[in-house]
Amino acid sequence: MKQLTIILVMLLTGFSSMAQYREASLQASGLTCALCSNAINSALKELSFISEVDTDLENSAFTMKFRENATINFDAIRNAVEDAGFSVSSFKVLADMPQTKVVKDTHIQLGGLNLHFMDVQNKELKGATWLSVVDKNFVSTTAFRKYSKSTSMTCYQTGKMESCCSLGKKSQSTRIYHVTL
Amino acid sequence: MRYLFVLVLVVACLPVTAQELYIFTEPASNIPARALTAKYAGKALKNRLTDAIETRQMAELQVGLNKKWMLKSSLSFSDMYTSAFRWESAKLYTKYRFLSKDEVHRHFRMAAFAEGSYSRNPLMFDELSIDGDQSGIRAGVVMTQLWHKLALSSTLSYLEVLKDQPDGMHRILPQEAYTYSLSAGYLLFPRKYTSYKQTNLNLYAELLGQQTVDVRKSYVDLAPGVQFIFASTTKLNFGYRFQLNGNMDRMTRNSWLVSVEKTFLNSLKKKK
Repeated sequence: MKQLTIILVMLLTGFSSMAQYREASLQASGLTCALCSNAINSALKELSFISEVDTDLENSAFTMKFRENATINFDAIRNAVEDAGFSVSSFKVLADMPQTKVVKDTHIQLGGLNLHFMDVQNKELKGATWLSVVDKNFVSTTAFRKYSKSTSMTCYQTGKMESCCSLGKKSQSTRIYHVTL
Repeated sequence: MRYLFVLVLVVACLPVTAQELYIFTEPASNIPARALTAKYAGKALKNRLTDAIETRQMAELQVGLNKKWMLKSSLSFSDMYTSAFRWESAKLYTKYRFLSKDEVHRHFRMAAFAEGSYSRNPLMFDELSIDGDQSGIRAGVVMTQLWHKLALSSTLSYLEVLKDQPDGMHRILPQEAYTYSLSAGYLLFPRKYTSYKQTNLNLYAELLGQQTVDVRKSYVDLAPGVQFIFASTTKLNFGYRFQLNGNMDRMTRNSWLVSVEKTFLNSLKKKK
C-alpha cells in the first residue's frame, strides 16, 4: 500500500510538471494609440511559444494562445511589452491544473514554473483555472503596493526564491511567480 | 503667456483623444526597442529677399537601442544658403527615457536628450538652429503627460552654435539660446478603434520658442499640424509654422513641413 502511494505521488508530481498553460491575457498600460499597440502586438508575436495574439485595441488588452508543449516564460511576455515602450498592468494565465491543494504562501510547480499562491483560501483546484500573476511589473504600482502590504515574505519583493520560502536557501535565485485566483 | 493661455483653452475644448507623435518636437517616449524608423522630411519657405521658394530635404534613420534609449542620425540637403541645391549638414541625436509612470491609457514620462550637428552654412541670423542651419550642440529634457485621451508635452533645452561670427557684420549675432516648446495632439479618427488597418487622423498644435542668452533676442512660433497614420506603421505629417511674436532677424517667419516616417518593428536581432 505504501509503495502504491509513493508511485501515485510520483505520478502526480510528474503530471504536474507536464501541465500546460493554454493561453494568457494581459492589459498594457501607458498607451492609447494603435501605433503603440501595434508595437506590443508585434513584439508578442515574435515570442516562439506564442501561436496567436488577439488585440482589443480600445482597452489595450491582448490575449495570447500558447503552442502545445512549449516552455512558457511569463517574464519574456512582460519584457516584450516593456521593450515596445509600455508596461503590463494585469496578467492572467489559463492553466490546466492537476488536482492540487492550494494553500496560502505555499509553492507548487506547474509546467516547469514555480508558483507561489498569495491571498487565497485553502482549496482544491482541478482543471482549467485562471491564475493572475501579481508580481512586480505584472500589476500596476498601486496593486503591487497593496499586495506588498499583505505579505511579509521577501520573495514577493524579489520574485526569487528566498530564505522565507519552504524550499530553503538551496534554490535561491530561482524565479518564483506569485499568483492568486 | 497669452499664447500659452490660448493653447490651453484650445486643448480643453477639442474632442478628446490624444497623440504624442508630434511633428515638430520629440515626446519623452522612444521608438520600440530593436525597431528602425526611416524618415524623410521636406521644409519649404519663401526667401524674404528674392521671393523664391527654397527647400530643405532631410533623411533620417532612428534606432531603438533598448526600451529606454534611442539614436537618430540625419543628413540634410538644401538651397537655403546657396544658389544650388547641395548637401548641407549631418546630425546625431540621442534620447534616454529616465522616468516612466504608466497606467492604463495614461502615462507621465521624462527623457533627457543631446544632439550635435555639423553644417556647412555660415552664421547669418539671430535665430539659432542645428536642424541643418548651423553646426552646434543642444541638450535638454522633455516631459510628456498622457491623460487617457489627452496628451501634452514640453521640452526645455540649451543650444549653442559652434560657428564663428561672420565677417562684415555690424553687430554681434547670438550663439547661445534656451529653447522651449509646448505641444498638444488629438486623434480625430477613428472615433473607435477596431483594427490596426484603420487610418488615424491626428491634429497637433505646438508652441515653439527661443530666447538667446548672449545677445538677447527671442521668438515664439505656433505650429499647427495634421498627421495621418496608415496601417499603424507609416506616418504622413503636414505642418505649418509661423511666428506669433519675436524680435529676431530670421531667415523666415513662416515655413511648411511635410514628412513621412515608416517604422520597422523588431528589425534588429534580440541579444540572447
